[in-house]
Amino acid sequence: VDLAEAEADELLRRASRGDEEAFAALYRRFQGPVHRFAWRMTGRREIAEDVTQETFLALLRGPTRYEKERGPLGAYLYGIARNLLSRRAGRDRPYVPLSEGEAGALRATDLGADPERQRAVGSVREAVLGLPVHYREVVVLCELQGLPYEEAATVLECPVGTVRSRLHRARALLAARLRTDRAPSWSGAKRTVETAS
Amino acid sequence: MKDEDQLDRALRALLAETDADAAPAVEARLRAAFRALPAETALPPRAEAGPWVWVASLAAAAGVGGLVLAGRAAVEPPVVRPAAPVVRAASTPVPRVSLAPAPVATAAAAARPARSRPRRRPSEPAPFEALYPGDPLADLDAVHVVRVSVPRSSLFALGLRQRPGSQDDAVEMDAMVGPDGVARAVRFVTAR
Repeated sequence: VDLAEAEADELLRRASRGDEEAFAALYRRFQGPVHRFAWRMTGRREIAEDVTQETFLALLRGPTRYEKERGPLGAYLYGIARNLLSRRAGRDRPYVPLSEGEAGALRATDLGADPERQRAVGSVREAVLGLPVHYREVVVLCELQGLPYEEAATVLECPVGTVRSRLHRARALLAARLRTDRAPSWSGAKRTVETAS
Repeated sequence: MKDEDQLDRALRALLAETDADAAPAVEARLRAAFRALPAETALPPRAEAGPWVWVASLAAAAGVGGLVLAGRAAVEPPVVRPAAPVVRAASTPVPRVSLAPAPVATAAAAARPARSRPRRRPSEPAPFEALYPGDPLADLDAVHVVRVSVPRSSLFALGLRQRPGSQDDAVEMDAMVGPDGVARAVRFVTAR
């Protein structure tokens, strides 16, 4: 067991016995990855904050549900966040995302930003958010969160080979989408993204 | 290859754009939730239950053995035992506070009977008191807990009981504010 994991386990043990500072230390250590994971999965920061809060509330209410034999605490927290995001997917449908025009207008108000960079980031963000969830998860976990394949497999509860193949396919989809974005648009033809499983 | 490079660059740009921590308010809310959590839910992990597990197991085994022997020796018709108590909501006047919907609560967990005498940490604050009787606090989707200092003389106006004393003093309390911005319940941090 690596030192960081042992330390996290110790913090959880103390937190479960009522040590608020241990809980706070645990939170500060893991909130960043959980928050960024939720943000990158949804594209919405307010949802990411809710999910972060609910993830740690779940840990707070059931510290004994974590079994270290099944993986590190970080992977367990990712798993909780992932379940919460999945539940929210249906619940948040009434919220309609901004159209490209509205989003563009909002971005244009950010005077300090480089418009070209903003366009590129917006483009890849939309491409990632447009991926089916099982592809989006591997892109976010492996490419953006920097998790090794093995840890991503623990979070996603699937074999490492599946992570690799999904990532390969997801990257191909993203590259295709970005290529389409860069190509000149002709007569408003509707773009489609291939989402074969 | 060119596509791959461009994709990597784009992903790095997205990574930098979304590289931020949660707002400090999240930690504040979680700390408040930690303090509000009943002590009995914060149990040590199973692996560290220690020798008491063995003592309890032996006691349970002895109990089962005793029941089996008693059953064999019995000559009278079996006594009909009353049904197991029905699990129902606690009847305390103050509803249990839920700071957010329990994300991983299961039906089994909800049906688990509560302990008869919940332990409370010495530093644990008093439970929340609803400002509006009958207000279903547990139904609130999200609340904020804000610590405020209130003149003792204002407690009566809030419908809260108070002990006689100097009306000039202020008392510290946590106010639970609903998503509509209205304070729904309070709990005292300092003695009234």
